[in-house]
Amino acid sequence: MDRNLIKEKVLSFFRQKGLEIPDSKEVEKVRYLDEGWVDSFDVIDFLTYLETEFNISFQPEELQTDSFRTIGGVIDTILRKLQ
Amino acid sequence: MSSPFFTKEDIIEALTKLNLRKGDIVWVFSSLGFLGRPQGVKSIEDVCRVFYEAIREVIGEEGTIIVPTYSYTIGRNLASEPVLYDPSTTKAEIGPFPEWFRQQKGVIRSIDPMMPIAGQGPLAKEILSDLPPNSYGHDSVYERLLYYPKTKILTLGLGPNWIPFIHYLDWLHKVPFRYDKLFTGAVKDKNQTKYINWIYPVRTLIEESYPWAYRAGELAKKTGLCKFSPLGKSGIYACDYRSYLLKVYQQMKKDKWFLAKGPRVDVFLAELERLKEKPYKVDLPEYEPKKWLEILSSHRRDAVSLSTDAVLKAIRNHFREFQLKEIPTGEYCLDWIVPERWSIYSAKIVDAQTDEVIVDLKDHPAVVYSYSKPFKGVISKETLLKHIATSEKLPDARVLVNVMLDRDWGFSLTKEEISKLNGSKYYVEIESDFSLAKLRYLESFFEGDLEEEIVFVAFIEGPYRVNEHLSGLLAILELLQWLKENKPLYSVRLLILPSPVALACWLEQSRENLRKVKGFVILTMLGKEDIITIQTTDLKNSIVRKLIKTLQKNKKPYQLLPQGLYRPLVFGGNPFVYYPHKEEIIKKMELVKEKFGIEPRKDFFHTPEEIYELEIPNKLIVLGRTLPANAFYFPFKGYKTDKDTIEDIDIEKIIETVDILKEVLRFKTPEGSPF
Repeated sequence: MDRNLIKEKVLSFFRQKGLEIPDSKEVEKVRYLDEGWVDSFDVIDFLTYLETEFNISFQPEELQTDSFRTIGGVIDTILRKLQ
Repeated sequence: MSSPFFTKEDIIEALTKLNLRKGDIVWVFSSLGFLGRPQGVKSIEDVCRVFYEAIREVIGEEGTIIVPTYSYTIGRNLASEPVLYDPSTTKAEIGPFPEWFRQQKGVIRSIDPMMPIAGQGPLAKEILSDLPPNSYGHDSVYERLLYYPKTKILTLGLGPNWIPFIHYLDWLHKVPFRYDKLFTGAVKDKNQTKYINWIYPVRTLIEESYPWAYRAGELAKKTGLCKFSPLGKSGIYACDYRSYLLKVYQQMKKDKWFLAKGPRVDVFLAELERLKEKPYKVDLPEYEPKKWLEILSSHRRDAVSLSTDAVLKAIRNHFREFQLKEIPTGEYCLDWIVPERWSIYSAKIVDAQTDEVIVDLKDHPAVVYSYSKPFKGVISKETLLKHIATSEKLPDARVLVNVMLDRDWGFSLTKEEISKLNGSKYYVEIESDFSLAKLRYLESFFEGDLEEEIVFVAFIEGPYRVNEHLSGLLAILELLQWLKENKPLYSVRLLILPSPVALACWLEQSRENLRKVKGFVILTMLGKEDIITIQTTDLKNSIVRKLIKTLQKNKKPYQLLPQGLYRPLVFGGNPFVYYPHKEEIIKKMELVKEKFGIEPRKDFFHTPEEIYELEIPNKLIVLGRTLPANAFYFPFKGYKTDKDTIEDIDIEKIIETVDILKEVLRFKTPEGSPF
């Protein structure tokens, strides 16, 4: 799957919640928890959405990395799994 | 897909499998959301409670829970808008569990205004109380935990790369990409508000220095120091604190970059490349006093800056007798810490409604405080006024403000500019940067007939400050030219320094030779007034006596003043980062070596007694020409403002003072002994 398409699908989770997400390169650096795009309680919904949307299953080590806390890191992880 | 739901019993089972036992101390790092959600809970507070209860059940009431509740408060403090760290109310800024935990019954929180830590249980108090003023130094929480063999690191939903002691080890190993930085701010301690100095080892802002403990995490997994137990969508790691710390400590002996992203770079060069500042050049023509003052006056000369480096280099190009000395940011010099390099790119105030530019750095080099923090935003007039300094004595002048120690951002405005602030909102922009660099200064030595030395000092801080500082520089250069042709009775050392912190650095580096120094003569304000002013604390000082006799012989008017009226910030106004229980900490440093093989760092603190033992204050003489001490404009009109320019500077007065000094340098007492 194309990286841009993955990015679109990842961002659409937040857009569905009513957040206005800019479509820029900078958005990949966003730490979505720190920025309040999703809170700790609901982050599991985000993970479930990603697993369902891309038909993948995250491994514990993947969720434990610092890079997974950024939008870019989430996209990279999904891309890696799909390849 | 693994289930995102689990129960409290599942957590207890996972913790038990990880060998957590009654009476353990557990350091808890958490990212609970990535684990999933305990069944039936409805809020994040409930999630926190379930995890807390599970941990408490496993370690029992005899166990101690330690949770980082970092707040970074003192980093946000501004002298004009103080931010108080109150352990009972200041929020933890590293996620929901720390914020929830710190509010629980029986939890105490450390007095660390940058990286506070909370604890609950029988050992919390001795681990978290009476800490030294350095988040990561000796006797910090990270070092204290070494003494408790039952300490475990728990990372809930995180990897074993989340290690609490990462920056303690960085500090111990004095890694090149981090440096100690002084912060000031207010804390609430036992219901009293105290203003304190605090040291936090900051990182250089280059990508390569980013904390990166993945290699350490892998090592811990491979060597069995960390064990994993799955839970929900992720799992829990438990690591043995002491073994893990000591393993990484040993690894860092081989590689100081072990806990950074890397790759290894020349940090000074990388920091320079990070800046937006262009290379700075100062051209000085053949030495001609007045011309030099004109040129130098217009250049910024902040304590550590590219412009100061360029000024020093330009001076040295003409006077090769000077050696360029340097000392890196973060080093300890007596009771100072060498500051960062400060770069200023732009600064302006604009009326947000009319777009009228009130002031702009482009038009006035002294408009922004030296060492101003960056700031950008629209603020109210009330807030803006907190960040504006003005001269009470000279309404049309700008005061020269330095906020190197009392961190802030701000502007110097004339009374007229302040009267123009009629709007209610202002756009303020200060684009500045702080970076790791080297403080530089010039030093020259001339051997006399005697080993005893007189050290002459001139500061060059600016812009402007022609009488206050650059007149002293001219005196030094005139003395140097005379010394090239004449051998003095006393040996002479000449220092051209960008700031008092540089004098502290020279003193620190010259500790062994200080007994030879009979006097430090700070040359300042030599170009305007008639009365020669000597500030001293010791009228018996042989240099002071000789100065007075020479002045009397030449029938020159003079006044003697006690130190403190306008002396430079060498002793008294400086940060004084002292450790309250030095003897105790020294014992602990010895113990940490004996018990764990950790080589202590010894460069980081002094006590007032140690510094006063050097007897520097008694040898410090400030020599200038001032108005009488009770004059309205004392020490001279325009002091510490942008009106201290070359205007009214009388080069002859500087030369006349230098002639007095030459006589002092040849002065022999009838008894034969020079002192």
